[in-house]
Amino acid sequence: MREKPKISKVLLAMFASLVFVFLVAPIVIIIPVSFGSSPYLEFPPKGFSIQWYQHYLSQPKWLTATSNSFGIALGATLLSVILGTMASFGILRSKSKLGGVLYTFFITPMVVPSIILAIAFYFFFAKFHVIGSIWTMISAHTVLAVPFVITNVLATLKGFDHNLELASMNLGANPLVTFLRVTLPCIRPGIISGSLFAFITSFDEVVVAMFIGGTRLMTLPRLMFAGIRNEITPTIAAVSSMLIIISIGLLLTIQLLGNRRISGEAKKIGSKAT
Amino acid sequence: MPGRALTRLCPDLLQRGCTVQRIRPLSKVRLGRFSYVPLLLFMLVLFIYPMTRMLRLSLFSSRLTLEHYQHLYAVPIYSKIFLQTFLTALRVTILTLLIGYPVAYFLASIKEKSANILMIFIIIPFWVSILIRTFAWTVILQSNGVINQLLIKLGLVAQPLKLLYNTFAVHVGMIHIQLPFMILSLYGVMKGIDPTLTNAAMSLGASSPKAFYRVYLPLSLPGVAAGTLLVFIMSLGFYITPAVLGGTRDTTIPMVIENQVSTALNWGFASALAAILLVLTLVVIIVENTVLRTNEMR
Amino acid sequence: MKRRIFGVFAVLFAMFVFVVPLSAQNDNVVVVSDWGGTLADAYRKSAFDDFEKLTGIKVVEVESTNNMARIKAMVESNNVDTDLMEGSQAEINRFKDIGYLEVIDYAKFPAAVANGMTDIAKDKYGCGTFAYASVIAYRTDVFKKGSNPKSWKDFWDVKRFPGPRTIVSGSSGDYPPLEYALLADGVAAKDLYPLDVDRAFKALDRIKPNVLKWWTSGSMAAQLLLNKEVVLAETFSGRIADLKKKGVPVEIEWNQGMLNMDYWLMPKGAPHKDNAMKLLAYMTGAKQQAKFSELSGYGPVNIDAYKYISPDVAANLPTAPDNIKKLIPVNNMYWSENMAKIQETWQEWESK
Repeated sequence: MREKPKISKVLLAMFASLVFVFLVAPIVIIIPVSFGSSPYLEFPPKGFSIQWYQHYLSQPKWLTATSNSFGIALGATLLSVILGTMASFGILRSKSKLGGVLYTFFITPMVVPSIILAIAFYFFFAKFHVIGSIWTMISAHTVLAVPFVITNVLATLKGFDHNLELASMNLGANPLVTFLRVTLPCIRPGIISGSLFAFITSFDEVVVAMFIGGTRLMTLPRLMFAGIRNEITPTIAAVSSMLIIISIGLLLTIQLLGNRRISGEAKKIGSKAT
Repeated sequence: MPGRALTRLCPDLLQRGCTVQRIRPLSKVRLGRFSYVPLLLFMLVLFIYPMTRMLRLSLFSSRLTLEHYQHLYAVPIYSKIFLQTFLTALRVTILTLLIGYPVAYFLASIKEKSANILMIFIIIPFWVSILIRTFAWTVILQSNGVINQLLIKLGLVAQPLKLLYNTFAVHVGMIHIQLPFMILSLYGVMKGIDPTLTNAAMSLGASSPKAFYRVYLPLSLPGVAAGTLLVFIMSLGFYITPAVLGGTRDTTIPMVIENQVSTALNWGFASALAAILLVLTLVVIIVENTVLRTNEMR
Repeated sequence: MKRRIFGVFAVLFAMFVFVVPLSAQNDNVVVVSDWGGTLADAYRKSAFDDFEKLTGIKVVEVESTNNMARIKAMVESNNVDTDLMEGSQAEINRFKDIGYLEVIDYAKFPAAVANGMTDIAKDKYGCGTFAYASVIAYRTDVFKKGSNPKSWKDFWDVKRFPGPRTIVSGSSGDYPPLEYALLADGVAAKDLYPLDVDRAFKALDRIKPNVLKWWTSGSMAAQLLLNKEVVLAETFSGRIADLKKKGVPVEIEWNQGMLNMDYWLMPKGAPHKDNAMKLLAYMTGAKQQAKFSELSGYGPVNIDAYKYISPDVAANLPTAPDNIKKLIPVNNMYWSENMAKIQETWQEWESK
């Protein structure tokens, strides 16, 4: 078995590192700024102060908005993953022409500018007097998130060997068990990246939220954009920094827990293959 | 016997006590042929119906009319901005692909544990709101900014370079936002590519680049398709980043639409612009779909 | 393990979904959509907090981006949920003829307040919030006070006053900067309107290479000056007053500034009309206006407020007698009729 020349691997690693630096460069800016003492976004920041964090944590409106955003994003992610994954199967397993049409149809929301969608949604939901309701927001965000789920799940589904499913069912497993025990683990990377995109899409979404959130359902992006015409205060930087820290923590936790399980499975399958 | 071959393929199932039963005709079973129906209904009610009302506006002024579309066609600036928007999206997509592919490949080729840790670099930028990220780029790219200060200190330039409020800055900002999407889309597919396949090709005599080109690349194509489509479509919808980081030549159609909706209150015209954007993008999607399907059939 | 994580999320989500909507909804409120930031702070400290204590009516603040679009959407769908929205004369002109705005009855204000308010502030369809001016702003570490640009002609003179500038963008929602261009080109203030659009764009051609960025929000202009990316700016006086307060070396040149006023609009069908009227009457009181001007740097709509404003604060307000005589009032009627066409011309011009 020939081994890959080491040089290309090293170059690859170096390139990847450069890209990682590029990706986190803005974060390196934001975290210091959130500790600056001047009431404007300034870099390098002058002075040291935690007032922006205090400002954020002490104001109920910021905390409510954060919890709203999380809840809405969770709901939208759940709904879009379920509907989107099911639809991905439908697209792939149906007649080829219908599949193409469906696919194009389902990703259309991505193509419509959000301000247009916002107004379209507004008039629709206003008719039923549900502006400002959480379920309204979750539904609207699901429409926005589904395209992300479908593109990702479909991609992994295409690489999935359909025969494994057939084999499983031939061995007596019913479709549901087959799906859960055979298909799902194989397309899991697609579902995970799809749900991540869905979550972020909802969590970061501002224009639609502004219109259908009404006066009572405040989300984090709404609050952050609120002062944009007049002022950008470091409070936004503090909010972003906190989200970064929390998500790093969450990710590390999930990785550490997940890694144990994955390496366990890998060992089992590895020993069987020989 | 088929049964025993299958149990070797799926030892897990055997352990769980499944036994070979009657063999069903394989071709008839297609799991999930109609599972798109729930989403279809959902979208018809919550997307198509609201959108038709909006799009109908494009045909109305005080009465049923085509004047908005005529205006769009007659005033050259809008066609110019459409072109600008599509070209920028295309450039950003290609650059993001070129940068993201090697990174995704790298992540897919190292140990999963390490990949998961490095994944943090990809996911963290997501958590930073677009507003803040765009601001951070002004800080980095401005004439007194981090890059210029570094270049001047190192003596590489005498005067600060104009890195901001132009097309370059817009591309940097957009690529930065799109890279995680591209990398994750690619990674999701690349993880499923069996590494033994490229090794097999090489042990059969193919050189490393050839093995990559003939074996790995085609297998990664679904990921490339998903990633590029995603990034391209998203790039067409950018309006904050070009507005903040760009100059006068970086206006995009979403910016114009935003203006028409929020300031000019000309919703009829805004809908017409959105309708044309929609149609043009759908054309792109359909073209890509057709190209891919013909590719698959090969 | 994964199932447990999923379970935790499911529980949190369920808790959240059922708890949040059940939180008490108070209806003795007035819903206000203002422009956030320092202005919102100024409103809070000068009026909202005290108003809440005095009357028990809660002032619910909502952000204002897309205000105009929201009024249109709300009124057209019969779903008005906001009582007062911060807007401009342009919006009033837009909406009043199609019946989207409530009429404001100043007879319901206390007589002292109504008498103290200037006539412009007492628009039939909008109650004045503050007077503001768009002025020349400069960095004092580049141009010492006294040898700074003193007119738009100076602003356009890149030989005597070199350096990058920022001016409002015509696609920002604010009026395109045609008046400044015409004044720079030698047009007298009294001859400005109707605007000679061609002449204005020719003048803009001359300054275009020196404009680093055409700003699309007030904070952008302030940020550019703050970071010294530009040395000269055309922007709102209140933003500069704010920067000065925070120690940034900038100064206002009042000469040839354009004077305008902002208004509280009440969408037709506002749900808490009476509460809104009470708030308006309170906010426009002399003492409240004085405090607001002090905090925001903008001019009060009630001239009795000057009794309570200290002279050094007054010197920085657009409506101070020394300043206001240098300012030129904006002709909002002209813009209402011509904004759409000029915006399109702007778009063509900027992409050249």
